[in-house]
Amino acid sequence: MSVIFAILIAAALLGLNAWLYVANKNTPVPEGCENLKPDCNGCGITDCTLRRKQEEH
Amino acid sequence: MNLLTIFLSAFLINNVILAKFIGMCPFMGVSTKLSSAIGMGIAVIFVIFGASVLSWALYYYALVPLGLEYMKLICFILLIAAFVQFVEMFIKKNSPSLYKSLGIYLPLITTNCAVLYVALDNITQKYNLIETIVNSIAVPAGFMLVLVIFATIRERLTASDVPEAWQGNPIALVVAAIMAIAFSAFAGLV
Amino acid sequence: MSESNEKKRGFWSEMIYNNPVFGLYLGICSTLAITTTLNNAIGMGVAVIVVLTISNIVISLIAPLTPDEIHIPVYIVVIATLVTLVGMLMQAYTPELYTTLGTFIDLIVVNCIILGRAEAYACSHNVAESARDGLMMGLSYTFSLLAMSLIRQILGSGVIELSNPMTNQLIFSLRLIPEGFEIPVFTTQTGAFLTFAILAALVSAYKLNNEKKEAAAAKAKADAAKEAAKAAAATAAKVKEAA
Repeated sequence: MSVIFAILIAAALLGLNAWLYVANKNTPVPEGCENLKPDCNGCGITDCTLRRKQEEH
Repeated sequence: MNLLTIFLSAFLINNVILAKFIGMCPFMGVSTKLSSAIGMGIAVIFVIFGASVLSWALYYYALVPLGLEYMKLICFILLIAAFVQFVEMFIKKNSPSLYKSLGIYLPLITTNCAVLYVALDNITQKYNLIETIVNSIAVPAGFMLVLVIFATIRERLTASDVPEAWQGNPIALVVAAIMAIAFSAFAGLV
Repeated sequence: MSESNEKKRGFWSEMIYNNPVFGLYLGICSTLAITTTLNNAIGMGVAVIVVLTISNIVISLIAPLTPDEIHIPVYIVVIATLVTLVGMLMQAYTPELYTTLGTFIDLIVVNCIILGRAEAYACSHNVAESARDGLMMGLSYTFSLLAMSLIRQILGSGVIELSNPMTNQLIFSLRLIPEGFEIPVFTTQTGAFLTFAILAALVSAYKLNNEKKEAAAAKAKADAAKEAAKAAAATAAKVKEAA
């Protein structure tokens, strides 16, 4: 029984994540913030979205 | 436990960076400029506070009654990721000026170990809600304190003549070592 | 760094160049925190190798099926499940080690190396390649942990020890520095930062040295090519004159 609840909770949280991710992506970035650049060099987090953005430029 | 003790212990004595080594990734990356250190610090305080209180509630109101304590790691990390998305969306919609100063640091925070650490720490220490709130403010405040001090030192480091191999992170770690000595003096405070 | 360059290097050179800890500054938190003894380092290293290899395999399998919107939460769930499993196994079979490593076992979830490899490598490569990559990355992480913990334990306590994590029996213990001459600061936080700084500087020095050598070799090659071109031009001119 508790396994079902475990799966339900995990699925609910995953769904919440997916929904918020899509909602966040669809929310337009406010004016004047389109080209914000972070000052973070020296960090090696290769999966960081900022880093990928920087590399694209 | 005394709330002041919890605060001082988390803020200074057991400082996340210098005593526990947690949150080192953003610490090395973002601490090169004072303005970005402040932006990152505020974003971290906000996210850690919200995410830890939510995780605490989820743990005691959903996982414990259902006997699913072993799910805490999976649930907390998902909750943190969702919370960061939510905060970013909320700030985008409601406060463009805040987004301008904090926005870029928010996505960095999901994989910041400090957030998950505080959420788990509140559970292992068996804190109640008030203690959780105090701890969840004190830990990131200590993070920000060290980040800001460190950024001011690093701004000066860029102007000094450092041997080639030590430039960048190695010399920054030496600075961190010296700061750790200074912070170890707080050990007798409480 | 280009692909061909990477392939030319030997095993150790690759370990140093692509070292996730001292080269890329990933997973620093646990490296600094748990390297007080050799035992901790081995325990943590094995846990990370297991999680990283299996997560790379699983993610390379499920990546084509995952919708792009939720790929990060899905990867996080996979990693968190594996870490929970490894944590439970450690709690059952190596309880002492589990308590000393403490939250750092749970924090493997947010260890940048694992999500980083999932995003950068496993999601776009096949199972075998991903497994190999996970194993290599895990090994070079463990290698860094071992280096740190050896230095810190020998200088800090003067003794090098290894014990069986299951039963807690000492396997061997060797005193290298006589009692009273050890440097206890190396077991503290300060020692962790200092040891890390020195090792990171060594890696950076090695890289700089190699780059200089490569640049010199490239220059010598270019010079030789120029000379050859000159000689060829000269002979061509001579041939013309003769004609």
